[in-house]
Amino acid sequence: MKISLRLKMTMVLLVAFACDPAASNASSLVLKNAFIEYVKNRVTIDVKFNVDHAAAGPHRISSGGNDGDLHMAGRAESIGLPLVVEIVNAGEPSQNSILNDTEQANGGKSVDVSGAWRVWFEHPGGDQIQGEDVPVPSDTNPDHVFEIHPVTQFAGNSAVQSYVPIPGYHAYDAETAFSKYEKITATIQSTDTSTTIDSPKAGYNYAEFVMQLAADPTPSDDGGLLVLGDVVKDDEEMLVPNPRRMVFAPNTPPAKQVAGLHKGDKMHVLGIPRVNLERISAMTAEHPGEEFEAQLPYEMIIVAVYQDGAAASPRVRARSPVNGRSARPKP
Amino acid sequence: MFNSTILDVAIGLMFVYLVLALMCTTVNEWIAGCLKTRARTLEEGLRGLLNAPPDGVYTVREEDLKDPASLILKLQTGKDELTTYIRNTLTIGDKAKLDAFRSGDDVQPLMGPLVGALNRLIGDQELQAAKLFPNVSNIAQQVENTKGNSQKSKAMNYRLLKEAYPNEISSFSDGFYSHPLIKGLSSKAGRHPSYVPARTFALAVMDIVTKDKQGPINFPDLLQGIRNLPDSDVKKSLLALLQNTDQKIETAQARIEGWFNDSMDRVSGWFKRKTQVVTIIVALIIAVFTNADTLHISNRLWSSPTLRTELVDKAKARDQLKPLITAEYPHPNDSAAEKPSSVNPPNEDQENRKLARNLPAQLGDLIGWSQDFQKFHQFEQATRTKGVNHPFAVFSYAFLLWVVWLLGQHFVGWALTTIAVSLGAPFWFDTLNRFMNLRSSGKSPDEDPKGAEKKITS
Repeated sequence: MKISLRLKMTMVLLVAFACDPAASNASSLVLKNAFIEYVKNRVTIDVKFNVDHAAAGPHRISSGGNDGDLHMAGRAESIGLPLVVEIVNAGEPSQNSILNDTEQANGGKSVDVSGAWRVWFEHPGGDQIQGEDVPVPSDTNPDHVFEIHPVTQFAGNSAVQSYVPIPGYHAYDAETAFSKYEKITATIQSTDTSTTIDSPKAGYNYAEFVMQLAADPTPSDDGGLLVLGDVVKDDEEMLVPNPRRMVFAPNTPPAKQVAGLHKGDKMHVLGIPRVNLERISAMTAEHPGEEFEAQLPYEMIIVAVYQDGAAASPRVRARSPVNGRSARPKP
Repeated sequence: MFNSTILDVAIGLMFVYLVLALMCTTVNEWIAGCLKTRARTLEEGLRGLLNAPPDGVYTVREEDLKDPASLILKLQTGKDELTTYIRNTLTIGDKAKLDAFRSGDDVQPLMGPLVGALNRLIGDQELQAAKLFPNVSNIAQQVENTKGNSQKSKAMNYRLLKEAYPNEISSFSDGFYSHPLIKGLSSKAGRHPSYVPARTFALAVMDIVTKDKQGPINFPDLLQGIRNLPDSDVKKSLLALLQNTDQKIETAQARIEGWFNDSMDRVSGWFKRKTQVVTIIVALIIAVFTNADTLHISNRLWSSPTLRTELVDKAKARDQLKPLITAEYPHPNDSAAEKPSSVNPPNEDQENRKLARNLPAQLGDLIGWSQDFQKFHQFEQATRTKGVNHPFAVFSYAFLLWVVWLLGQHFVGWALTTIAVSLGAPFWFDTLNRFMNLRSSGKSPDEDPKGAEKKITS
């Protein structure tokens, strides 16, 4: 055994002694069952959003969290949870008017916001119970598990043109991202009126992958599209054992492209994960009142579709060639 | 009287063991992750199940030659360095047989020489891999990494050979590990997973045996796929599993999952045996590092009712820990968020939960070195009074005396703690729960209403 390993072992002992062995980083989210039923087959949600803090500008663009998004933190009565709203491709000229609106709304103004709802344990912190008093956030990225991300409409201005590849952004490759998503185990319990999801911290926001439609698209409750798709690599290999639900926000470029596709067609896309509340609802129906452990069900919000050979990330192309098979709507 | 001092001391000790065993589990898991023990044991089990050489053997067997005729034809016509190398390891007679081979001829006479030649390549530690496999990326680095390690060298040669002849040399287990469903379970590319769900195992196996079949498969497809496999234990096992079924694909899948689960019970046993020594060593390190001396802890608990009560209360909080917070809402049919009418457990229990989670901090000064360090300073002073003044000499002599004193004081206690901690957290969790139940089934005289009544009436 090398010395460095012995050193590491000693450090682990120290850390294990000092820290919580029951493992934390886990966070509980309590959602109202009626809320779950309302959003589970919707891609987006409309809220009256109090903009407590808006970032001065979009994030830099490189990889990981430097994704070019614009962050805003605030509160929405109908959500009742710490809330962060994110606009993708915020630095693009098409989003200039929205950037002006965010500046004007910053500091507590209330605006109408629509966009993909997103439950994901990326920035968890303590137990978050829907409907309990939400403290005024102190910055643009407070502890939160609920987001509206990406936005489709902000203060009356459409943001659907932001649903395009992020120029110069290196998304996670499909193998890395999906292997992480598949390994998240959550503890779930429902009562008559609420559902609790206790999950470890999750990350890997943006994943670039090729999806193969396992069924034709079906409409969501809000006019978007829901598609069951396999995540494939090199045209043949399936990266996850079963199809996952892919969701397309209404009137966005990805939704328009997938509308013409059919079972078996492929699409090269950029997506972000969110908890699949439709599956959560089905699972709690199978285990009423019981606490149970399960793989955290997730689905992908499709943010962008890459055109032939137009992968944004050279890293992803190098690892997982997609052969330029992007969406081609059938005539 | 169940609620006795002895019972409380036992509960306190169990609580200490539980905390230390949790630490031991954390370290053990980390070591198993670093050494990939779990993944290796699983691989050994899976390769045994799927009839392929276990790790470390790296040998091509006759049954691994999926298409020997194709390999022979490649060796006849190839002009590259690899072909030349393999041909040169054949005897003149075998080389003549190889050159005389024509498509459709019986391959059996050439199987032995072929397998021998391939295994000679695998075992060649001086293999000029960069010359033989020029198209492999990072080949120079790979060769450098295996220098001086025969096992690594064999593993690399075995892999390179299989990559060079992917359609000719194969084994069922290699196909299994390279299946996307299984590869997707690995944390990093090139690593094997440390856990394979039974369902994924069954799906991968079924997909491999029916790889020539496009679209959904049914029971006859699966059966035919298995029959097409080369004769091997895995073929016999799969055929045996599918005997006397209702000819449904779901039943076949369930049988394969059951086969996997049965085997994994055995693999779990291997893993436990493999990690037992590590567990004991880690438990000993933890016992010494935290100075957790069973005898000392028992004495302190016995002599201090306050400490005893405090620890029992903490154990109770741990025992009654509600793992999940839940809520109820007054208007369940309204989708908009509203203030919950109740939150369970209530907020004060949340604090208890946080406390209970931060277990090591709760052991207070029951464990630790602060008192024994004072003894070290006493030895230092005693050494100085004997006329030793050089700081290093003082430290060394005092340290030696201190170590001897520590062993005398704590050796038996540390040994007992080590044995207890190595039993594992689940054991102490269950035992603690049983003792807590036992404690709550009896009532102390102060809590006994009849006892109180007696006091009043008398």
